Amino acid sequence: MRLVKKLNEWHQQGLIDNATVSNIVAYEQGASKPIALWAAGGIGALTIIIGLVSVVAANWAQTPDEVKLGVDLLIAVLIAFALFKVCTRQAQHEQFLWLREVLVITYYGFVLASMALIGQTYQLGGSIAKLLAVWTIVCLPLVLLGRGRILAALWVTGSALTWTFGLEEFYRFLTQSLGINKQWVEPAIVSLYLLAPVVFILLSRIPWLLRHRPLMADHISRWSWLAIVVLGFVFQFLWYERIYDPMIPAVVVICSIAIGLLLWWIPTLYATYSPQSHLAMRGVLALVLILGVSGSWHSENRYELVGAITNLIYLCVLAWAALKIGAGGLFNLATAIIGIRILFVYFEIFGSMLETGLGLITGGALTLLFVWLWIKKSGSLANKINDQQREINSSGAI
Amino acid sequence: MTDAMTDSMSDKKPSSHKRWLIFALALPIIVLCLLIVRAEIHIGQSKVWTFDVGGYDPRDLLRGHYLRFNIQFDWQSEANSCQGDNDCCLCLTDNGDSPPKVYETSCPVAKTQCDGFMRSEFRRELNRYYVAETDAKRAETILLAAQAKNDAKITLAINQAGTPQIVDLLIAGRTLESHLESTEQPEDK
Repeated sequence: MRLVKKLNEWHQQGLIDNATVSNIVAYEQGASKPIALWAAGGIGALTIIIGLVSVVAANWAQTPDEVKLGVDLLIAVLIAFALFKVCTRQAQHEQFLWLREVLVITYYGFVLASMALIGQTYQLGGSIAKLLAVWTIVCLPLVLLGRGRILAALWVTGSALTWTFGLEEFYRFLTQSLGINKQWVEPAIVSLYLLAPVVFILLSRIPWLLRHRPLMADHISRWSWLAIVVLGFVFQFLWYERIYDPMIPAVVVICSIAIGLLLWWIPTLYATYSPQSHLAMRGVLALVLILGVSGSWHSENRYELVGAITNLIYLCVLAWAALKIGAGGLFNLATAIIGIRILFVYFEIFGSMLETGLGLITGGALTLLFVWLWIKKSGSLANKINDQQREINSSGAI
Repeated sequence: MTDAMTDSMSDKKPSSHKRWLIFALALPIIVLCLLIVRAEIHIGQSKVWTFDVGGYDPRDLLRGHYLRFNIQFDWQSEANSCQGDNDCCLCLTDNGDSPPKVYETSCPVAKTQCDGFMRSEFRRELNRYYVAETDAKRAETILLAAQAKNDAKITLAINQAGTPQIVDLLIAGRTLESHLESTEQPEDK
């Protein structure tokens, strides 16, 4: 709709003729259909999964256990059979690829619901960590049959949950079963929590995945980078608390070594990306590490202003990184958040009405100045973004 | 997108492709079957013990579609001898019709000297009993009434490795399910 409106505007201004409008609309309609179809399929399968989990949670009493479990296994066999038929078809038309994706997502969710059903039927009181671990491992070959971004998002969510709950269980295993001193185990486990995005980045760069499932690898990588960006934003709040824990130095050392290695490996891991993209990735990653380390390196006082300033610096670096990778949307978002963040600084730092009022006036003025600069420079920035995008496209990255 | 969807298996031999496909599709079903078989074997090969049950808090008994409870062990606390939380087991001494006497000791000792034993780490998992959504309210009422009379018990099937599995929730000697079957369910409808 937005595109048609824009095309009509351009046509009315005499920039393009009627035939061009028709050609663009026809092309976009042809190209957009599969995306809508795939998205609808993914949402439909997701809805079925939620419905199945809900039915299992109801634990209906009227049906005998044997019937419940028998029907459950029968449905699993039917989904598997349908998936087998779809996957072994010689002609791989778009609709079969779509059907395969929907069936993989449904089967993936159905296995989890079935495990929950068995747990309810036999009153198994096992931990959710074990349930998620078995589900993730058992379904890994199944997930690799799929291709799409919704499945990738679901897998990242499921695996991240498995990682989080699994670490808790791993901690218990190390301290209780193996009897290792908590003083050693705690920093390692906290570091593994913080380094989860790094683990997923490494997973997304596995050569087989990159070669055979590029879309999935790309999305796992994107989600991981998003987690790093969010972590960098959250690190400002470390300055808002009095922090002291004896394990912090050990966590800092472990995380610094891991991030240092990742910084070094980025050009190898993202070999098809441009040097500009490598620089942007390294810049953001290094800054996130610095923010985390510096934020946790104080114990006695709270430094709200330092937290706010480091956050503004971080947002500026994010905007710079967005320019480097030619992501106009991310650049606009980062600059908008900078403006809002400046206003919030005054709410946070100053207490009295007079101070807050003066702060707001100064903050508002700064924001207006920032917007004015943005408007003035936006033309040259847009050109720069386009140049970056062209350079990235020509080098075959992303 | 079309590039991304190209079949990764196309460069493999068809037979290898099919083998991989069958493995990927059959593995979840095999594991589900194994989970069922394991649970059946556990109940079949275990000794069943009965323990008294108490609620955490009557206002917080029902969480979702399971009843929360707390096992009231008949402690012989003076006999506790396990230090720290490594490799500890509950030593169970058969007490006839009454719940077993319990004390905590190291697992190697418990395996050789007790009538039965349960690994201590599983205690925190034994706190919920799943009920059907339609029966949840009535089950909560029945369990509350039973607790007031100290009449609620839980039966556990504990295997030779010391792993427990809940079998039944007993109210006045009958299973909760049989109580639910024999009562009306107007408020749930």
